[in-house]
Amino acid sequence: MKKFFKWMGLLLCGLLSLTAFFGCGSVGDPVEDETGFIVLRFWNGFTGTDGETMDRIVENFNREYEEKQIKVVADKIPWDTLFTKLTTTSSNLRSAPHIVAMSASRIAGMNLRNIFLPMDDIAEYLGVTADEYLQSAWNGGVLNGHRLGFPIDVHPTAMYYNKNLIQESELPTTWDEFFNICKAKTKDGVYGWACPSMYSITKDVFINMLYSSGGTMFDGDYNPIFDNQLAVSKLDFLNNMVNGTSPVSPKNVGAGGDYTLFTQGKSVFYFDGPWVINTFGLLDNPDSNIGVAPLPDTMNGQENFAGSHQFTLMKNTVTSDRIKNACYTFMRYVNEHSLDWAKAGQVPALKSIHETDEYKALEPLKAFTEMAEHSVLGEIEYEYWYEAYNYMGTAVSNAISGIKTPTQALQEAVNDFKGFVEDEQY
Amino acid sequence: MKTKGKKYIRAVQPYLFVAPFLFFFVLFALVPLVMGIAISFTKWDYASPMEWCGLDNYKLLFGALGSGKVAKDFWSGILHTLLFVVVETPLLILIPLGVALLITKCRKIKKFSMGFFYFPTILSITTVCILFNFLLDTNSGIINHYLHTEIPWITQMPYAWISIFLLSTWWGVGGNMILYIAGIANVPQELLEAATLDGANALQRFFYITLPCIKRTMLYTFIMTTIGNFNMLGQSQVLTAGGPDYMTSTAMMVIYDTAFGGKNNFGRACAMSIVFAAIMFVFTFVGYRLQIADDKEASV
Repeated sequence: MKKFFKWMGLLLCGLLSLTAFFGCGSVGDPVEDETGFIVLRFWNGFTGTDGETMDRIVENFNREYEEKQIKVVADKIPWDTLFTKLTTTSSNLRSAPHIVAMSASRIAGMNLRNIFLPMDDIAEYLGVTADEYLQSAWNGGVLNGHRLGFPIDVHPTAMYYNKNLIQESELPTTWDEFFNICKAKTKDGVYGWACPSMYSITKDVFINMLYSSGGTMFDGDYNPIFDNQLAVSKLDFLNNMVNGTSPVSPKNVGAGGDYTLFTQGKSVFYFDGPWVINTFGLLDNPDSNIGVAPLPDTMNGQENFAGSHQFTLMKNTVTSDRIKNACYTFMRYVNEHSLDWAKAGQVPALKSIHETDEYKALEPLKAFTEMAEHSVLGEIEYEYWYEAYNYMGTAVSNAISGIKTPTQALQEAVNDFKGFVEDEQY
Repeated sequence: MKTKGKKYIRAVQPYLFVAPFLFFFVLFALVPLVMGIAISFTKWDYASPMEWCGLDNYKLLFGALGSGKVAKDFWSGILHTLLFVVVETPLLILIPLGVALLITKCRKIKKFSMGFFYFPTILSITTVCILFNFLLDTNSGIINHYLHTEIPWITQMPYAWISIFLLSTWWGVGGNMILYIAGIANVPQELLEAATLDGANALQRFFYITLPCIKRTMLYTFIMTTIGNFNMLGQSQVLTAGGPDYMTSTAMMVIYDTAFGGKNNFGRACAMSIVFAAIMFVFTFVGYRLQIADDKEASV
């Protein structure tokens, strides 16, 4: 018996070591499976309702393109993890993706890693032209004359309001009007707006104020100028709403605090992207007490800041024309079926969708669509734009928290950003 | 021949038993350590080929190169980490000990109490942070609601740190408590009974019998808790996002952001990890030596 246990012990130890050894080998889907199908790995960070919709679009594509032997395997990965994984697996041919959906603002930064396959021939292959797409989304995929991103959508920030607390006719069209209305509405435990002081949507409101007034974050030589007079005056204005003599927002609103107070009926306005229309159930419930309007100062064709999701191709995995064309086919399919994508709370980049009766019936998207037509994505061709945007976000947060004055906060953010760029040389 | 084979097996046997551990140790500890040291002398973003950069990464950390921003971020992260370690480690050693002593005394509710205090430990840090975010929200959180206050628990200093300490203590008490309960159960009953007969009160029995008997458990919890606290990341990342104004940003957060946050400076992140590991080693070693010295003094 003793001998039996001794030998069993030895055998188990040996097996464990062997399992560990072989377990380290990478296993993944080849591009072509045993039946001759092209299997495309598609990574995206759409983890909410938009993710479920994208999965349905992928499912339908797989069904319709079964005869053409193309299959797409979608992998939903939270955005932060996606970029980390993309960096670490881009050279692993067995697990790296072929198509990745990402924000246009991340393309220039990720391009430093030389991972993208340019899609300069995609317009010709698919027979599409720039006029068919929202301008900001179409241009947002082009970097140094090469197309690295193919547009999916545009997502501006808009103004949600509580219909029980404000009439549609009272809605503000300028930020000054917004402040005055908020002042009038701030009483009896109800605030005009719960302005989050933590790193949040407030930075998007600030950047919108900046761009709609003709401001920018960088000058022509990509020197950061988001501490100039105009930017300081906009942050001052925002800061006054929280820390001024007549505050229209409670202080110290944390992440998600603005949403909670709005849904509790304790604030009139709430700012967020189009995806929230599903969280509020606005598409299913036309009688909802929540409405959506464009941001102040964007209604007369003024520019507004927005984000845009784009398809990108990975050069390490898209190694032949056959694979590339299959990817193009999938991208075009998603574009053409983006009415479903709109229902998930996005503004499709393909303009012809906007003209359909079904799209027009999506009333809550109207404000976002109007804004998307005049949207700008910022100086995203600059490889450090995304970092600058984050430093600017910290400055907005510090000012709203009352930790620093708007001037101090913005100047420090610009200096920090300059330091960051200098250190990137080493 | 048979005897020779037996001898051979007997000689090889211990190594085979050690092999699985050795394999994993080499693969997941030794190789990454050596690679980390090597990578710290390079400029590498994972996707591009490595570039040898000598001591540049270390110079950046000590402010001898560049704008000084890397050094500022890193050392402020180290200071915040030390603050967390200095405050949280005693809390996570003393509170679990107190709880373990109480639970050992109250036998009727022992099992329930163990489950009650251990429950938070099984939750992920993300879940705990989301829970505390709801509880501590300034304007709509339950805590402020019942206290009738407007304390900015997460958005202002020093409350952001207080929230992190509260959360970490609630989350971490259970793990050490279980170890102490096991340690206290092994204290020889005859010693306690003899001390009682000699007229020792509860406090004297605790300081002169229980505490010396669980010294090894305490040493273990001290080392593990200190290392765990040095590696604090989730609380700062999820609850306060390093804010306000980077004041709760820890060393691990700076290292993580450097490696994965933006530009993927793996070389710089490795240099940070090496310096951080050295600091961590010094603190843990000093603590260990102090406890051992204390132990020797007591035994003399």
